[in-house]
Amino acid sequence: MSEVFQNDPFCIRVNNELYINDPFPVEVDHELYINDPFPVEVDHSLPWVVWSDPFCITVDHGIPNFFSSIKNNGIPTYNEKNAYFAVSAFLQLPDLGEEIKLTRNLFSGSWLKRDFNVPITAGFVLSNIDRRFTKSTGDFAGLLSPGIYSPSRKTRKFIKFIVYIFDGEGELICTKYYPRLVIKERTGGIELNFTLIDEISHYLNETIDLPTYAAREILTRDIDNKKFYAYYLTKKFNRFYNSELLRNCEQVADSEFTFTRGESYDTYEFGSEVDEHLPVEAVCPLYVGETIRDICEKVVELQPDVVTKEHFSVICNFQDWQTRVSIPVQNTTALSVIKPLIDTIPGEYWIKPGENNLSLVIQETVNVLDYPETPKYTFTPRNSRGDFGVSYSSIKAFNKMNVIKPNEVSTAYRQIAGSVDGGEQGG
Amino acid sequence: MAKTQYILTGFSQEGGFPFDFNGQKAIESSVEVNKSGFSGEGGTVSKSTFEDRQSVGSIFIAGIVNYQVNLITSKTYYYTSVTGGGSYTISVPSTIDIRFLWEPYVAPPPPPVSTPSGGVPSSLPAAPLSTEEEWEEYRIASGGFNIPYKDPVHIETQGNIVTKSPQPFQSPHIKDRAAALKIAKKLILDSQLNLEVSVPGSPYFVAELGDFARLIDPFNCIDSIERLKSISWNEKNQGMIFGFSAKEIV
Repeated sequence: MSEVFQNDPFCIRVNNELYINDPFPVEVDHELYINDPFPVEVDHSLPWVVWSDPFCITVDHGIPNFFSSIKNNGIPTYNEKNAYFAVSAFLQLPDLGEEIKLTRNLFSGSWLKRDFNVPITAGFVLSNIDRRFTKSTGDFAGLLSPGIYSPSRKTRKFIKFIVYIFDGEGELICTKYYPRLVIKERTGGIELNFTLIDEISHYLNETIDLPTYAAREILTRDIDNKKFYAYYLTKKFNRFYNSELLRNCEQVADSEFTFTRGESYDTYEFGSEVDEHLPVEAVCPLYVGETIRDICEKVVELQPDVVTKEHFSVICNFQDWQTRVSIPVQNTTALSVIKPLIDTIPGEYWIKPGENNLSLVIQETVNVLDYPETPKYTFTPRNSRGDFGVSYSSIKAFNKMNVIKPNEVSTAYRQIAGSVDGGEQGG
Repeated sequence: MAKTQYILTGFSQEGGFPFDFNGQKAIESSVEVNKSGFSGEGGTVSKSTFEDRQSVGSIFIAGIVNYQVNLITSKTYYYTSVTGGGSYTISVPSTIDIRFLWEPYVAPPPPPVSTPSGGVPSSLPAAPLSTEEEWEEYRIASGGFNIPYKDPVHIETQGNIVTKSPQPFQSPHIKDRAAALKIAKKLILDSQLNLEVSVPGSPYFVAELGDFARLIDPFNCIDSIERLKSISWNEKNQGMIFGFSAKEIV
């Protein structure tokens, strides 16, 4: 039993062993309700959560003496020094509702790497001495080939890792899931080497062809010079979302035209004729986050008909904003469209593994100057398992840079002279 | 004979289109179709085929000329960033102005009507009408900015040595000036994290990307709070590698 006390509204320290400053709430496996006001006492033998109205305060792990050295800059305990993990691999077949475990004694050499702004990559080795994994008939036929879909088995197929973490005494501490890994490459024969990539990155790196997300369009003119048609704009005209109608680059008042939505095109009708030389343009800004979400939906929908369309979750942890510039998505990868948009937040993305699915998290980056003074962990040579690897970055340091947003350049017209049947008139 | 001119301004569609010489007949060899102006990235126009053709003596005349329009509707920008750089393409609402020039075909006057007195014909062909208007095109630029940002702390500590980034950051989608400043600060500060540090650790799978950790390594002059940027594990060596970018103490 130990005392819990409140340091500040966002920090709780438990006997100098647990230190949490996560944004609330944080998910955990177990919960313990405590109604007493601070300070309270809790049993450290359980993972727990502290509830104290009106705030829900969540502590990620109440496992005593487990990896306390990196939390408190202490000396590693026996349990920490000798902690280890084991990995099981499963073949996920969501369209068949099955998960097949890859036999432990044939499966080895698993690894996985996660980073910001890159796919989750992973790999493993399968012993195939009896050719059971490569036979054209049998349980695994068509299921361990590269790609997301098996036409012969009519199912999507993924690899899922479950990592079991044990302390030095062999007690299971926790499990970690890495589902939905797509086989990217398979080499070897007797020993099969697999390289994997996460499902979301697999989709985002496929070449796609979508209509441009059009934020503006020069309208097509009817013969009467009053009606104008918009065929390509992604968003409908709506003043609430900062839409504008421009005649010769000048905003047109609402009283001067009416707007009619149509299935294949929208109509803007002016009360009086618009000179044939003057362009009429509609600007309907796009929300960047919404566009990213839509592209993520479309990449799934663009999969072949036989593939079950299961959308992945996109978590946008940034304040959405509008852009007045169209976003073309032709013959390119979704990632090469999305990434420059994320860079302008300025942001970053990462793939978050859940138990059975993955999420794409897009968030604002944290400026170095905004790093907290009280970090979660401390790493020193004393509590690490070897020397730090240190190398110099290939990026050359700079202290000045320009950030440029190009102008929106529009073309307008003015009459400078004119003659009809030889007559002159000023413009 | 003087050529007649007609200009189609702000043409924003691609493909093949007909032009009927405003109801006149044109001498085929005199017809010119070219670009007289553009907006955005512009495009090209070319003459293709004639329709409603007739042979009159040694010349051909036509009632319609078909022309082909190709617009350049995208522009690619290249940039370099601390994460490696790349390129992006934006859509450009391009238009072109198309000028048609042609020599109208005027049918020869009918043979004179014989009159007892040998007088004038009863009628003469009407002269073609010409319409000429001159419009001037001008550009309106708005909404853009160019924000130069210097990191005051770094410049002060480095003795006013200014090192400019090799490439500006450029994007038409930047929200506003505040976001531009954030981008500049972020890229400058990231570029100054000159060390890539990998920490071999226990299998601490609870650690997540973006967690903050204090790195202390006296042997490599590191003592700073950094952000966890990569996590990897390998079953074979039973360990995890935590990756950070850090700033060397100089």
